[in-house]
Amino acid sequence: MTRITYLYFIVLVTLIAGCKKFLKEEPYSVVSTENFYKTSADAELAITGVYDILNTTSIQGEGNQALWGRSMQYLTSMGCDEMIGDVTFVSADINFLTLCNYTYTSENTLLWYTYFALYAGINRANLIIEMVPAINMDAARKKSIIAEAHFMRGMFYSYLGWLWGGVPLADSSIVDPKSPRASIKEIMERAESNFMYAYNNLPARNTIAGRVNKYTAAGFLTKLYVYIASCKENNVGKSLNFPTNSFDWVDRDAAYKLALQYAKDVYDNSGYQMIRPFNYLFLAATEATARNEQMMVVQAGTGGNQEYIVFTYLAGPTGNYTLVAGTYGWIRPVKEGYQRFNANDGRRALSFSGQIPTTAGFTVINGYKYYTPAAIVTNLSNICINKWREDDPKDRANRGTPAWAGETDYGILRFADVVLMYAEAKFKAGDEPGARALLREVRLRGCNDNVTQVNAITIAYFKTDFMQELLDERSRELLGEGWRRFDLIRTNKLESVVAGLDVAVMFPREDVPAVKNNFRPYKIWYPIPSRDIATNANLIQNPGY
Amino acid sequence: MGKDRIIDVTLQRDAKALEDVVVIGYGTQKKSDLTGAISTIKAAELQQSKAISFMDAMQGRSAGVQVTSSSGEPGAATTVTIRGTNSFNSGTQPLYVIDGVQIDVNSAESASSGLGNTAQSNPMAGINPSDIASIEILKDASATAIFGSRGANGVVIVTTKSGKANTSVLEFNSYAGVSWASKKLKMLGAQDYANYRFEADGPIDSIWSMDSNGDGKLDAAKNMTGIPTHDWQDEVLRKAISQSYNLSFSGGSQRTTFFGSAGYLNQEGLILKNKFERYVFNVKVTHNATNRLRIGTNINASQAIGTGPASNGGEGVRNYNGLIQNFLLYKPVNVPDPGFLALDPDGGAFGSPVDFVNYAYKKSPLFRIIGDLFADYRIMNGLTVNVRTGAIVTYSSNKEFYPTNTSWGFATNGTAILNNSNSTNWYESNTLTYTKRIRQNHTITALAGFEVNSYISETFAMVGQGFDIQSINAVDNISSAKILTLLPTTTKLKYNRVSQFGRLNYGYKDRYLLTATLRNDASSKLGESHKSALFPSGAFAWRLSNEKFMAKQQIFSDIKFRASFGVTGNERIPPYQSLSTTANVYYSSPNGGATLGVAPWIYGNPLLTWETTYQYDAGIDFSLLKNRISISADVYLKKTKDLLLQADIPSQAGYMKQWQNLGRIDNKGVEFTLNTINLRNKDFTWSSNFNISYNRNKVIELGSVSYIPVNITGSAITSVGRVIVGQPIGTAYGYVYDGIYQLSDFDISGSTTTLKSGVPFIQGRTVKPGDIKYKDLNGDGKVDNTNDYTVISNSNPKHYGGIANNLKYKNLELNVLLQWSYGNDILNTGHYRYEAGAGYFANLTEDYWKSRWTPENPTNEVAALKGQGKTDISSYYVEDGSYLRLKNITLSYTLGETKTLKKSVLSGLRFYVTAENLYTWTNYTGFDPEIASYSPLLPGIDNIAYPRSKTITFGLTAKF
Repeated sequence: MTRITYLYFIVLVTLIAGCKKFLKEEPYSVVSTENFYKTSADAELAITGVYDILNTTSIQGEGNQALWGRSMQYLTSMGCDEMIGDVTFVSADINFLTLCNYTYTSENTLLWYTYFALYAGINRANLIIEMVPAINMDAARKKSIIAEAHFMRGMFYSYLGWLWGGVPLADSSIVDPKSPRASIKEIMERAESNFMYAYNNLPARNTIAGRVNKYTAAGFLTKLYVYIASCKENNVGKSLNFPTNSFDWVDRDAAYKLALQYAKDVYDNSGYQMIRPFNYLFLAATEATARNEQMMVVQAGTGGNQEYIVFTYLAGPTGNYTLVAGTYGWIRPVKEGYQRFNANDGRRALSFSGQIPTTAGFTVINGYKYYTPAAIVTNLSNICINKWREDDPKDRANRGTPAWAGETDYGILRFADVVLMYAEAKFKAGDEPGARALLREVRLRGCNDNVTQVNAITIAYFKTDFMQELLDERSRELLGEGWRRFDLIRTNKLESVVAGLDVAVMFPREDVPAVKNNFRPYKIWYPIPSRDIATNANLIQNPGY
Repeated sequence: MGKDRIIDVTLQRDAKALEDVVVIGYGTQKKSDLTGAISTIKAAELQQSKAISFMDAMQGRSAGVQVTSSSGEPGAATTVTIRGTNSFNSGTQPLYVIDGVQIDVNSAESASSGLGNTAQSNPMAGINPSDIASIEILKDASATAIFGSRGANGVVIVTTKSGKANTSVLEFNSYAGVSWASKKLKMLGAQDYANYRFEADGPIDSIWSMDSNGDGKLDAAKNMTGIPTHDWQDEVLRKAISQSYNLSFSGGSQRTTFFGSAGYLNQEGLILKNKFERYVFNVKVTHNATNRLRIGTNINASQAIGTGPASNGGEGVRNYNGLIQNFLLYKPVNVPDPGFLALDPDGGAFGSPVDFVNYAYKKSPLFRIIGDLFADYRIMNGLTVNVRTGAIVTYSSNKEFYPTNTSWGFATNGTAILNNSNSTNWYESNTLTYTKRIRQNHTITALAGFEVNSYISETFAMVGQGFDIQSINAVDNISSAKILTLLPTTTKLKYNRVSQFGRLNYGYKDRYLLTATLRNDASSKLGESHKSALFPSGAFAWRLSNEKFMAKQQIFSDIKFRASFGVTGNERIPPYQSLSTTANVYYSSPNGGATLGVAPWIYGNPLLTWETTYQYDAGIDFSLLKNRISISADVYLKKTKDLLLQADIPSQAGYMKQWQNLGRIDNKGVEFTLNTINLRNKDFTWSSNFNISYNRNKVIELGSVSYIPVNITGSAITSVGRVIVGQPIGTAYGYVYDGIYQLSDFDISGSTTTLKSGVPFIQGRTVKPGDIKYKDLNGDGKVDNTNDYTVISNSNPKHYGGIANNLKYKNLELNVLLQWSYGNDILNTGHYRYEAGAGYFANLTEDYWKSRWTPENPTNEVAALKGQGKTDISSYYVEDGSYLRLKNITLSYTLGETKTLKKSVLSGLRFYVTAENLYTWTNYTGFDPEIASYSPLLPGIDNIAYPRSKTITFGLTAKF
C-alpha cells in the first residue's frame, strides 16, 4: 500500500507539471484569425466572405438581412414618393413600422444592424487589404482580390455616408472604438480613393461572373461625383447647420466633370448594354442575360446559409407565397410613382401590377414558371411593384429554396443608371441635346424599341427643366431599385415631394398622412444608432434626433 | 479527507456525535464549528415539495436564497440566486456539488433548437429529489472560497441518501397528483371579436362585416350567431396528471454500505401533449477494505424527457407567436376545420393552437450519468489522503417537426429540426487532510488539494424544410427535406481547469474558531497571461456561550459571532473568447449553388481575466431556552469587479460584441432566520421556521460604457431595459406613463385634431385622442426617447422569504409553507398583444375591450383600440409583482411503531396529501407573478409565460 501511495504522489507531481499545455486553448470548430489568410485558397474564401455581407442573414449572430436582402431596400425606397408600408395580417415589427412613417429613432434596430453590417463589411475588406499582399499566389488573381476588397470598402463607405453622413473612419482591421465621426468630406474621399484603386487595378470583367470589375468601380465613381456635386449645388442640409455633414467643400463643377469622364468611359468602353426586354433584368430565369447590363449585383440563390433576397417582405405583387410566389405586401407603391408613367411607356406594365390570385395562370421563361398577376384596378387598390419576380414555389423548393425566399439577383448598379447619370453630367456640362439623346436610348429599351411609343412618351414626359425631367426618368427607370430617395435628397426635393404626397388612400393600411406629418427636414439623415453613441461617447448625433 | 461519505460512517460509529454535521467543500464540519454562513435544508422539507427538481423544492426554505422558476412548464429552468446577482453574463447560477462532484448548470447540455422558444429547460431536473438526504447552501466567501473561481455565485451542496451498516431497508414511495391552471384570462368571444375586427379594419370584407340594411354596402359587424366558437384556453389547457414511483434498497454490513434506487416520474403539463418524464437510477457503495482504506463509488444515471411543443415564441415574425401566445391571441371564430390551416382567411401565419399541439412534434431527452470513484487512505493517525475521479457525461437530442398544417410549418411545407448535444466533464481531485488536537485546547484541521477538470462539448444541428412526405414524422426521415435552412452543423469545444487549494481550521477551547482558505485556479478560457488567479479567504468565529462567564446563565444555550472575508471568481463564459476566430459564410455563385467563404466572427480579447467577488460577512447565531428558539442573522457586502460581459462595442470596430471585463456591482443585504419550537409536549409539537432576506443590488461602475442595453427576442418590444450605473441590475428603461390623451387635450375642427399648446407631444408621432401619454421629463414640451426615458421597473424584490409551520399530533403531521416576494416589478410586455398592440388579428382581453378609451368612455387608464404607443416601452406595462403564495400544505399520517405494523412485513408506512400553489395573493394581471425571463439582466419581464398550476397530490411511503 505504501508503494501505491508513493506512486500516487509521483503521478500527481507529474500531472501538476503538465499544466501549461493543458491550459492552452485549442479551437476545434472554428479557424482562428491568426491561422487564416495564409494561402491562395484563404484569399478566395476571404473575398467571398466580403461579398457574403451583401445579403447575409446575420453577421456575428446579429441582425436579420440588414443589407440588400431586405433592410437596405426599406432604407432607400421608403419615405419618399416610391414605396410605403402596408402592414396587414402580420404582427408588425415596430422597427419596420417606424421606418415606414418617419417615426424611427436612434433605437431602431433595423438601422443599428444596417449601420453595423456596413462596418462589418469594411472590416472584412480591411483584413484582405492587410493580409492578402503577403500571400504567395497567382499575381493577377491576387491583384484582383485586393482591388475587389477596395471596391467593396468604397461602396460600404459610400452607403454609410449617403445614409448617415460623416461617420467614424475604419481604415484598418483594428479601429479605435473611441474615434469620433469623420466629416462627410472624409468619408466621400475615402470612398473615392477606394473606387479609384479598384478602377485602376481591376480587369474589365471579373473571372467570376457576377463579381465586380473596373467598370463597376467607374459606375460608382460616377455615382459619387454626381451625388456630391448635386448636394453642393442644392445646398443639401445647409439649414441644419451641421458641419460634419456639410458639402461646402465640394467643387461642384470639378465633380460633375469627373462624373462625365467616368460615365463616358463606361458608356464608350465597358461593353455593358441595355438588355431587352426590360423585365429580364429582374428574373432568376434570365440572370445570365441581365449580367450584360447589371454592373453590380447582389447574388442570391439556393445552398449555403440562406443566401436569399427576402422577397416576401418586399414590394412585389402580393399573393399566397406558398402557391403563386406572391409577397406579404409589407411595402407597396405610392400613387405618385405610378402616375409618373404614361400608358405608352412599356415599362409601366413591367413595373406595376395587381396582386397574384391563387388561380393565376403563368408564363414560362427559360423553364421557369411565373404566375401572372391581376390587372391593376381603377382605384389602384391592388397595386404592387411587378419588377422582381420569383417563379413557382414548388419548383423553387425542388431547387432547395424556401417559398419565402427569393433567388433573383438584386441589381445595385446597372448600365441604364450610368446612362442616366451620363445624361445628367452632359447636361451640367451644357450639352442638353446630348443628354436628351441618352434619355431616348433608355426609353427605347423601355418600350422594346417601339419608336411610336417612345415618341409619344417623349412628348408626354417633356419638361423644360431638364433636371426635373431627368429625375422623373430616373424614377421611372429605376423604380424601387434604391435610388429615388437619394436622388430627392441630393437635389433637395425630399421635403417638397413628401409634402406633396396625395393623402387619398389606395389600400386600407396605407398611411400617407403619417409619412407627411412625421417628416422633418433633418430626416434626410438617419440617426446614428443609440447603441453606438452609448458605447462611444465621442460620437455626436445627427441634428434633430 | 473525504466529503459527504465520511458523515455516514462517523454518524454510526460515534454515538456521541448527536450534534449536526454539515457538509462543506471537501469535508464536513460540526455545525458548532462553522465560521461561514451556511444554511441546511433537510430531506423532510424537500420531500414536501412535489417539484420535479430539488431547486424548486428549495424555494422559501432558506434565507439569502432566491429561487424562481421560469414558468409553469414541467422541467422548465429554475433560477437560483444566492445573495443577489453579481454577474452580467448568464452564469449567475451557483455551483452545484452533488456528492462531491462539481456541476455547473449549463442549459446547453439539454439540446434545444431555440426556434420560436426562449424558454430553457432545467438540466438539474435529472436528479431525483427523493434520493436527496440534505442540501447545504454555502453563502459567504469563507465557505465558498474553497471552490475559488466557481464559488462566486454561492455553492449548493447536495448529499444523496446512503445506506446504514447493519440494516436492510426496502423503501417504496409513490404519489399521484392532479394539476390545473391557477388562472385563466378572459378573452373576447365570437361576437365581440367580430365587433372588434369591424372597428379595427372597417368594412373591408364579408368575413367580419355584413350588409345590415341591404343597400349592397358592408356597414356593420357580422352577426356571429350560430357560428362555432372556441375558448382556446379551455381547449388547450387540461387537468394534468402526474405520477411518481421510487424504489430504494439500502443497508450494509460493518464494512460495506450501499444504497440503490430507481425512480420514474411522469408529469403532464397543463398544455395538451406536453409532459415531462424522468427515469433515474442511483447506486452508492462504500467499502472499508482495510482499517486504513475506504473505497467507494457513486453512480447516478438519469434520463429526463420533455415532450410536446410548449413553445413560448421567439425571434422572427413567423416564430414570434408561440403556442403560449397563440392560445390567448388566436381568434375564437371563423376557424378552419382542424388540419386545414391553409383555408384560414387570415393566412397561415397564425393557426389554431389545438392544431398546433395535435400536429406539431417535439421531444427532447437529456441523459446524464455521474460516475464517481473514490478512495480514502489513512496514512497515519490524523492524516488522510482522498482521491476521487469520475466523469459527468450527458447526451441530449432534440427533435421537432412542424408539419404544413401548423402555423410554423405552413410557410415552409414542414420544418424538421434536429439537435444533438453531448458533453463529457471529467475530473480528478486529490486532498490531503490532517487533523490534530494539541494539548486539549487547540484543534487544527489542515487541508491541501489539487484538482484538474476538463470539459468537452459537441453539438450537431440541422434544419430541413419542404417535406412532401408527411405521413410519417419527417424529423425521423429528414433526408426527404428539399431545403436545408441550416446546413448540418457541428461544433466542438473544450476547456480545462487546474486548481490547487488549501484550508486551515483552527479552534481554541471551542471558543475561538479561525478558518483560512486559499485557492489558485487556472482556466484555459482566459487570456494568455491572465489564466490563473488566487482566491483567499479568512473567517473568525467566537462562541461566546462557551466562555466561562457564560456557564451560569440559562437563557442562551448558544451564542456565536462570525465574521469573514474572501475572494471568489467566475469565468462562466464560452471558451475561445480570448482568441479572434472566423466563421464559415457563403455567397451565391453565378450558376446556382453557393460558394464557401470565411469571415471574421469573434473579436478576441487577449486581456480577458477573472470576474472577482470580494465578500464581507458578519453574522450571529444564537439559541434560547434550550434551543427552543434559534436565530441566525447575517449582514453581508459583496463587491464584484471586472465583470465578464459580452459587451456592445461601437460598430466602427467591425464587431458588435466582445467579451470584456468591466465595471463593478455591489450586493449588500441582511438575512434573518428564526426557528422556534412553539409547543412541545408528549403528543403535540408545533415548530416554525421563518426566513426573510433583504438584498440591495447596485451597479457601481461600467468602465467606459455608459450603459448596457438589454434586448429581448420574441416580442415587438425588443429594447426593454438598461443596466445603468447607480441602479440595480434588472431595470426596464422607457417612458413614464402619464395617462391617455383626451379630447380636451386637442383643438378639434371637423376631423382634424390639433394638440393644444402646452400639452407635450411625442416626437416623431402625430398623437391622437386615445393614445398613450407619457411624462415629458425634461420639460422641453416634447416626449422623446433620448431625454424622456428613465428607469421604470426594478425586478429585484425588496424582500423575500418563507414561513413554514409544522404541526405534529401523534402520528399526524401538517406542514404549511408560505412563500413571498415583495416589492419587485414586472414589465408585462405580453400585455400589449392582448390590447391590440400586435396587429388587429390578435384577440383581446374582455377587460381591455370593455374599458378601452373611446370618446364615450374617456378613461385615463386604458388606450384606445387604435391608440398609438402600445409597442413603446413604458411604465404602462409595469406592474407590481409582489406575491404571497400558499406554496405547500402537506398533511401526512405515519404508521410507525404500531403493533399491527410490526406484525406485517412493513416497518413503516406514511400517507400524505399535498396541495401546492393553492392560493396566491397578488395584484399581478398576467398568469402568474413568479417570473424569471431568460435574461439575467431583466428577470422581471413577462412575454406571456406558460401558466402555473395548482396541484393536489396523494402519496405514500412504505418501508419494509
